[in-house]
Amino acid sequence: MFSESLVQLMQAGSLTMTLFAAVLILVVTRNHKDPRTRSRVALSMIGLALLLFAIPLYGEVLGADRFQRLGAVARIAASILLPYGLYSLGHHAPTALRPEETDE
Amino acid sequence: MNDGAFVDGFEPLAIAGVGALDDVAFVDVFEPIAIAGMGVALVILAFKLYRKNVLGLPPAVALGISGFLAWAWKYPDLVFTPDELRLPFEVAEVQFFVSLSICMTLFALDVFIGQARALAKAEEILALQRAELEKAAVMQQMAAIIESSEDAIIGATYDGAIATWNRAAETIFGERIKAKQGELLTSLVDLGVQEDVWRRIDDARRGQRVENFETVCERGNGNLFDAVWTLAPIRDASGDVTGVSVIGRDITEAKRAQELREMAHTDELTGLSNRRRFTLMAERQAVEARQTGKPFTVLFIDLNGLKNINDNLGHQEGDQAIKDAADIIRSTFRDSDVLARLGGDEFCVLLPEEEPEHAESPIARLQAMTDIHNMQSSRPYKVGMSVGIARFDPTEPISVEDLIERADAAMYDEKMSDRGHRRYRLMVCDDDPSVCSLVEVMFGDDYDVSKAYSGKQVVEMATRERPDLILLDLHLPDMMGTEVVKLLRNSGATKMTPIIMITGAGSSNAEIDSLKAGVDDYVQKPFEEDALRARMDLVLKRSLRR
Repeated sequence: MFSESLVQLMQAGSLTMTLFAAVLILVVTRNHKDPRTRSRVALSMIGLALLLFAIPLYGEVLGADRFQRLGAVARIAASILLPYGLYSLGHHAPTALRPEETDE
Repeated sequence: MNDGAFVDGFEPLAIAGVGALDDVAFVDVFEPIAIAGMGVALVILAFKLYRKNVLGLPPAVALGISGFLAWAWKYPDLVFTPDELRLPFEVAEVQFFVSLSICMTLFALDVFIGQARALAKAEEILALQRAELEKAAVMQQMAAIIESSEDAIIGATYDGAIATWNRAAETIFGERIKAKQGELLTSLVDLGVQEDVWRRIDDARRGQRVENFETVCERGNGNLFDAVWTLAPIRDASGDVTGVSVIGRDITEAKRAQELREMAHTDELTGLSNRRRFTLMAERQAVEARQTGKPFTVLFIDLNGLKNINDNLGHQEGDQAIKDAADIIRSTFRDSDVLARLGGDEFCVLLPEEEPEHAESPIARLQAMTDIHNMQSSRPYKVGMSVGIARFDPTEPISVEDLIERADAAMYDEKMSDRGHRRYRLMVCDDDPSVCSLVEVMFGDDYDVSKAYSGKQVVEMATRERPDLILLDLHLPDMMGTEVVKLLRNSGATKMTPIIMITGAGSSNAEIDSLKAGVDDYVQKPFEEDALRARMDLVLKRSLRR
């Protein structure tokens, strides 16, 4: 159905997209009028999780088979960090990132 | 796939990782569990964050799908049971990341849009606050203006009941206004004008503005004072009238000052301007004429025979003659002209605008009005006026005094010329028609001669026609000339008409009796034409001089 190289390219591309989205959130948060340290920590956790997801993927794209085992560990760590980061971001969002409620 | 120097650079780390984890079998088992747990956590988080309004619906859905795809990635067998729909786990992984990136991008956009909206709203609130502050400052200033105003400002309800007032109102109306709170505005004014004031209040209630309405108010101590009120409707935001505002000013002092000013500039007897105001107005006109280049005219009017009236009829009649002259002048000229009595029998008129080319001259108009007045009047004298005219030429300006002097000189010339050229009305009364005819022949060229043949006839005709001179025979068929003189002197219309008695009688008693009866001169028959003419001129001149 999909060639291996195409899948790898898609993997790398999707991860790049995700990283880009994380950077976007960082930029938006940076300009927020009431940034909280914890929300930044949460974002850092999300970013770190995405990087951990990236290690095995890029490893595969680059052809380093030996990353496979390390990649699995990285995925485990990332799968913990990502929801925790998102939870933390949501938890502190009411004051930092929650979009302003409008009268509409 | 694993060839290349770049990859080789990572090899020690990879080997170290593999070396460290090779023996750890649980990694292979735990990885899918961790990913699946993450998927569950993401689905729950999507729901919770959406409920907490941290995520909007689209990013929350994207996050939920991410969680679902995390399962699809590691447990395709569990998620996609049908074989035809089963995806390779790499593709599911890609979808997971795409979905996650969509979620995060949408979240970032939400935050960004929220921030932009918040910023706009904050600016809006700031603008509103600024406007409120400005409004409050304006209101504060307005309140200060109202409080420091010297005019009484009173607010009343729609029913006209006094509700609020400023400090000046307390000063003007005294403490009484406090006691009047809730009472009608009309309670502040004199009883006699309350009805009128209520009408004006009613006008204001109907939405009209009543400006500078003069009324009489009552102070706290009961004293009355003149005031001027401006009434205006108070409207609410929808434009409905909810009350009436009154701005009142005590004008007692101003009115007194105005009256004094008026008195200082007005001739008390005639109501015309006096010399002071005339001079001021003329000077102002001269300045304007110099600026605009438009000339103006001054008429100097002298009331003829005032001394005669005063001497013979008394000063009361003299004053009446002056008033009559003033009325004639007033009815002759326009409102824009300046009419003044300079003093005694002298009047002045300033004509600021040039007469239209084809219009009747002001002198002719004045003469016509004088004639009409004399015809309609039943006073014992005839009003006669001599007029001199002088024009102010802006190219050769002179002082106002000189201008009046020129008009005065012109008037004097006109008076002298008038005496030489005017046709006087002569009435001759003799029972002998030949004498009447003779007089007509002698003086018909210079006088308008009318004839009477009896005492009764001459009295009737003289009263009706009011001649300038009467030649009267001493012996008339129905009565003596002296009796006729007495009758004429007793009639208001002929009281001052000069009379020359003519008789053939040579007795000195007749002359004395005639003079005693009130004749101005006495001529014996047969008379010389030149002698009689000289006497007639003398009597007329004397009459005019008076």
